[in-house]
Order: sequence, then structure tokens, then C-alpha cells
Amino acid sequence: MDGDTFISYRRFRWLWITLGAVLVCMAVYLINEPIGGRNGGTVVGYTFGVLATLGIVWLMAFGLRKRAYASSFGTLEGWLAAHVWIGIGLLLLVPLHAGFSYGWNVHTLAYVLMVITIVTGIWGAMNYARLSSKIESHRGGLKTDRILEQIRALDGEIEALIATKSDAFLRFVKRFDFSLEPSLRLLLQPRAVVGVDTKQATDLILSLPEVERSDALSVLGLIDQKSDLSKIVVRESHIKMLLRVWLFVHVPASVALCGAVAIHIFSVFFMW
Amino acid sequence: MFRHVQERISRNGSMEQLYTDFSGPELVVGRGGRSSIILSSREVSLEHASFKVENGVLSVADLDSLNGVRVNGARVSRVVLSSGDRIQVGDVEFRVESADGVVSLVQRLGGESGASRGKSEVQVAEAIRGLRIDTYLPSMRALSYTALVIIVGLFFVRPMITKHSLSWSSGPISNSHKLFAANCTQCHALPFTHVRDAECQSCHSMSEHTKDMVQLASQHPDMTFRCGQCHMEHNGDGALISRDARFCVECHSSIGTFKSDSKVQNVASFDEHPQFRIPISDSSGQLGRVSIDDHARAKDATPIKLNHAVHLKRGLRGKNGPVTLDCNSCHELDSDFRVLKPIRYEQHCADCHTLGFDERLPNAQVPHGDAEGVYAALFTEYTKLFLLKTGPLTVQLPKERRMPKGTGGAQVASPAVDTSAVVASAREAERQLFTKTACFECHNVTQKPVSEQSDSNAHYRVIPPHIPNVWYSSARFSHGAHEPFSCESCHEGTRKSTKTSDLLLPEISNCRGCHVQHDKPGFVTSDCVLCHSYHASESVPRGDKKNIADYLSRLTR
Repeated sequence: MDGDTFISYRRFRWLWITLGAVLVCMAVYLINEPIGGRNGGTVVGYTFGVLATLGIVWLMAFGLRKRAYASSFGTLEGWLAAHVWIGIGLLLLVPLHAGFSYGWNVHTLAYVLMVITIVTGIWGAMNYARLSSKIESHRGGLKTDRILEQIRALDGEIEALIATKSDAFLRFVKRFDFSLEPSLRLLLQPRAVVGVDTKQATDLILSLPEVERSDALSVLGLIDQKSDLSKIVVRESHIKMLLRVWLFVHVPASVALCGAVAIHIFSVFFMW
Repeated sequence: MFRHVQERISRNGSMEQLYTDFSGPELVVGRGGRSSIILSSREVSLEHASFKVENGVLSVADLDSLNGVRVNGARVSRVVLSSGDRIQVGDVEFRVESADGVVSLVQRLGGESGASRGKSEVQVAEAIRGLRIDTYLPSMRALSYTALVIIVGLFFVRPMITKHSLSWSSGPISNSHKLFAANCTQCHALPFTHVRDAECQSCHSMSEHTKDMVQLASQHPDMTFRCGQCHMEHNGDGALISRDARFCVECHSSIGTFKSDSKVQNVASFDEHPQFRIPISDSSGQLGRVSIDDHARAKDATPIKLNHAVHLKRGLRGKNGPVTLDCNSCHELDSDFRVLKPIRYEQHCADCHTLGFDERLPNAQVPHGDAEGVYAALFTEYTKLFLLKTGPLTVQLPKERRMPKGTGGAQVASPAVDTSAVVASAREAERQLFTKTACFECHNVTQKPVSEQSDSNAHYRVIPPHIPNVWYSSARFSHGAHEPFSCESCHEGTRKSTKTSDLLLPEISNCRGCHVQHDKPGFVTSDCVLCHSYHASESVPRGDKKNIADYLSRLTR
């Protein structure tokens, strides 16, 4: 379907499936009044626990499915839609399993890790929905390495213009030229790349020997081009960073979650 | 002569040198202009430095450059050089080597030969690397494994080794068990097994509980319960001793399906609780229970004659003038504030119901509670009466009479008397007491059959009254808790009751005026254990409790 994203996949099919399942679980939770109160040790509690565990196993299986490029077991887009919506559904199913009881223990740790995993996942999914279309190279623009090569070429042209010019010309170039120094700060604050203040430049050009003035204008033009290209590169890198940085929490938290859930299940039956 | 030497280490490790010779005594270094050695660097001025040999002395001079000239690290404007000095022109460094009239300025180049194209590619790759967030963070794999190792270490390995961690506790431990809360194996002795009763009883054997459990087992022999099934730990204080009615009504709402010969009635909730039943003995002497609604059969069969209506009249004739009784005059609250004290003749009756028998003996009374003693007392009193009238008498004491210590069996030498008058009076008084006056007034009396009568024993027998103190043995009722209400608001009709057989017990509808099963404003929520005790623990003597030191020694073992 046109305009379908992984979130709205097939008219929000997985949203409705998850919503339905969660509503059924909530109804069962409210109707059922077990002796001793609602908790994970009741029949309904165990059932929700099994469902939640299956849910987590299924969500982790997405990590395998997305690498199985040859697989035709559902579309990857469908898997991702289910991954997102079922993950959000687990945020509520697990408290229903636990009867909304929390404590300083491995059981609540597993829930906290799950919340961290899911919340970072939601943030990541939102970033994808909002930003992936803004990547120039995805819209037929140049790829980063090509742009960087162009910047290198512009640097070469500037060097060539400097070669035999006066020291005043060199000072002029050094005043306005910049080199793109990739850093964490640049990734986090893409606006740090500055352009050329042409008004100041015009004043300074007049202080140069007359023969060098046209070359000075050329250099300014080259620096301007460099600035534009750098802005594209940095903005795109910033977007790519936003599309990736959440995974550094999402993935380790999900692995830790699997460990905590395994310990949770083991400990509950070990100390039956 | 000046020689510009460019040296670099080639890929195979050997030193490559490329040199250009310049004649003349002066050599200018810069980006262009008059410069002989051209250095394309932004740190280098158009004409940056000048090397000169004058009278065989080599010197260097700064040509008013942008970034200056440094010799061995120190900025100079003009200085004499010697072999081995390091000269920095902008960001380019030279080493001076002077030999055989040739001054060599050695420039060390980095990187690989002919790699201007390659250098650019490396720089692009480095920039791309610098623009990826991965460069600044540990790898996802490393983060994942680290997190996993920390969690498994702290929350699996450590508890498994120490067996002493609350991190596995599924919820708050009840206050009573907090003492050993961190010691998991105190209760969880076997892995993958429910907590066994043995662990509970390792402490609770000292208390009423185990005995109650035995009692419970005798009541429910066909059922197996674990303590933990009902006493749910790790749910805070609320669930350890749950008041949930479903524990009871799961079976008791249809008790027949669990115990076909059960005599108890089905109860689904307090609202559906059957009418109270009192114990009765039927015609065959079998003990049974009958609903207090069954007015024909539900009678107070206590063998005593009590007229509540008379006792509650105003101005009764008392020992010291008129008295007016109320309920509490006879029915006193016991020290536990729950049940009433048993009715005792001495406390509750004696003031009005004296046991005199002869106007001639106004101060003489027969003892209460001992029919045999009554005749003995009468015989003694009449003997004394006749002795006073006729002078000294000899009393032939009945052989059965106990003698003071040391005189057993010996006959007391006393004046002789005609005992037949004494016996006749005593027997007549006895007859009056047991068939018309004092004893008969309250008690059911039977005459002994002739075969059991003798000259010296009593000829009547009092049927022991056994006034019931608690009518409903399997329920707890606290009179103290209901003190704000008047007795008669529950025990209706007492003032009009003229017969002992009138059952003055309140019906369950009285209770329902205040008590309901489920939450309801203005009512007391009443589950099963409000009145009934699951383990009936109060019946066990407190003396069976062992001391606390024993208890603590079990915990620390």
C-alpha cells in the first residue's frame, strides 16, 4: 500500500492485534480475583508470564529475522511493525503479570530493563519515522564519501590559489577557511559548522593587493561551497547518529533483559 | 653550496633520499616569490627564511614571516647554525648537516611515496569514521556482554553461592518472618519444590499450630493441604494470614461433594449462613443439633428452674431489703471480655435463695451442691437442737462418718440419747428441702430407689444442672465487643420468659442488622474467620509453648 510505513503497516494491523490482546488481558485481570491477591503466582499470573516470555522471545527473534536476508517468513516490514507494536503491548502485559507489584529485586530489574529497551525502541522508531526521509543520499543526493571527496578537491583548489600569493592573502584565507574536523560535539550539535561572513570578507578583500583580489573572491566562493557541503555532511551524520545511537542502549538492554528474565524464571521455580 | 634533501622511509624499510642542489651563498625558503625551496604550507610565508654562508659561517634569518623561525625549539630572528641543529620553518622541519662546503637541509617526509591520491582517500575514510557515532562508543556487542555478565554475576552466581540474598524475593516478606528474610533456605530447603510443611513446623511445632493441624487433618482426612497453600508468603503482611472467605467456602458451599457424611451445613457466605443450631439430645440420647428456628425442638433443656420474668421484677425480697436485679447481676463478663462467667450459687443465688430448713434454727443452713452433705448437716443440726432441749445426750455417730485424725474407729463416750427423734426430724427436713422448698425451688430432684436408701445416706438426688456457658462451640462471640448494645437488644423476650426451656438466644437475623459478608457502608464486613477459627487454636493450653530461646536456636542453626 502507498504511504505505508513500518508503523502503519497494513492499516496498523499489528496495533489492532496488540490492542485487542492487551484489552482481553486487562479484562481477564480485572475479572479474576484470586485468593491472596493478583500476582505472578496465580493461574492468570502464570498465563500472562508465559505470554510475556513468548513475546520477548519473539521480539528477540527479530534480531535474527532481520539478518536472514534470504528468509521469506513474513516481510521484514511486517516483522518490524509487529516488533514495535508488540513491544509496546508488553509494557502493560508485564505489570498485569506482576499484579503491579514492584520491589528491589531481579524480577523488577527485568521489568526495568524491558522498559528501557522498549522506550529506547520507541524513540528509535520515532526517529526513523521522522528522519529517515531527510537523508539526502536516500533521496538521490550524493553519498557522504563523495561529498567528502568534493571537499578535499575544493581544499586542493584553495591550496593552488594560495601557492604564490602574498602573506596578506594567506592571512585572508586563514581568516575564513575552515577544515571539517569530525568530532562527537559536531555529531551532537550539527549547527556548529559556520559559514562565511561575506560582509567582513568584502572589507578585507580591499586590503589585499589589487592583483590578488579576484583570486580572493574565488577562494571565498570555494570556502562557501565547502561550507554548504560540510553542512550537508554534518546534518546527515547527525541524522544517521539519531537513527543509530538508541541501538547502543536498546540492544545491550535487551540482552541484559534476556538474562534477567531467565534468572527471574529460574529463581521463581527454584524457590517455588 | 646548499643542498635540499628530502628523505623518507620506503615501504620496504630502506631510506630513500631525493636532493636538489642550489649554488650561491644565500638560499630563501618560502611558498614562492624569490624562494628556492618551495614549501606549500599555509604556515609558511611567501618568503619565510633565508640561509646564508658568510666567511664560512652558516646562519639563518627570519624574513619577517607570519609564523617565525625556530632553531632547536627557540624562536629566532637571526642566528648562527651548526651541524645537527633543527630548524623549523612554519610547520616544516629541517636538519642541518654541513660537510665539505655543502650545507644540507634535510627534510624528513612522512607517509608513502607518491601517495597524494592515497593520502586524500585515507583522510576521507578518517572523516567518515569521525562522523559515525560508533567511533565514540564501545561496541554494542561489548556493551551487551558486559551488561549480561554483570546481571548474571550479581543476580544469579552470587545468590546461588551465598544462598542469602533478597534479590530473588518475589515480594515483601511478612513482618513475622522478616527475622530470617535473607536466609532463603530457612523455608526453601529443597530446590524446585514447594515449601514443605516440615519447614513451617520446624518453628511452629512449638505453638498451637501443629496441634491444630492435626485436628484439621482429623476433620478433613481425605484432603491434603500444604501450609503454604493458604499462608502465602512474599505478599506482605496481608496474605500470610488471609481472611479470604473463599478458603472456606470453596469446600463449604457444597461440603457434601468433599465429604459425603458431613453433618455441617453448606455455607456460601455470611449472607447465606444457615440459622444457628444448638446441641440437643434426642429421645434416644443421641447428641445432635437443631436450628433455633425449630421452636418445638430447640429448647433450653438445662435441668434448672429459672424464671427470668420473676427475677427481673422490681423490688424483690432480698437479704437486706428490696432489690432489683438486672442482667449483669447474674451474667458477668469474664476476664477475657468474651464469654460470661459461669453461674455460681454462692455468688449469684445465695443472697436471696438461702438454704434454711427450720424456723427453730434461724442461722442453720444446709450446704449447697452436696446432697449427701445435706442429710449429714441436718442430722448434726437436729442432734444439737435436741441436746439443748433435753440435756446431755449421747449421739451414736453413723459408722460411715469420717472421724478426726487419730480417733478413727473409736467410739466417743457421750451421754446416751434417743436418736429416733433426731432422725425423724432430719428426714422430714430433708423431704421438705428436696420436694417442696429450697432445693426443689431451683433443681430437678429425684428420689433414690429404696434399694439405694440407707439409714445414713441421703434419700434424694439433684440432677446436675450444667448451665451452658457457650452455646455455639464452633464459633467465637465476644460479649465484650458488643458491650455498647443492651443485652436485651439481642436476647429479646427475656423479661417475659417464665420457663427455663425458653431459648433466649438471638437469631442470625439479629447479627445481620450489623454484619454483612461484603463491603457495605454502615455495616461490619464479616468473613468466616470473624466468628470461626480455622485451626481452633484457642483450645490448646498455653503451657505447651516452648520457650523463645529454643525458638531462636532453631533459627540460627
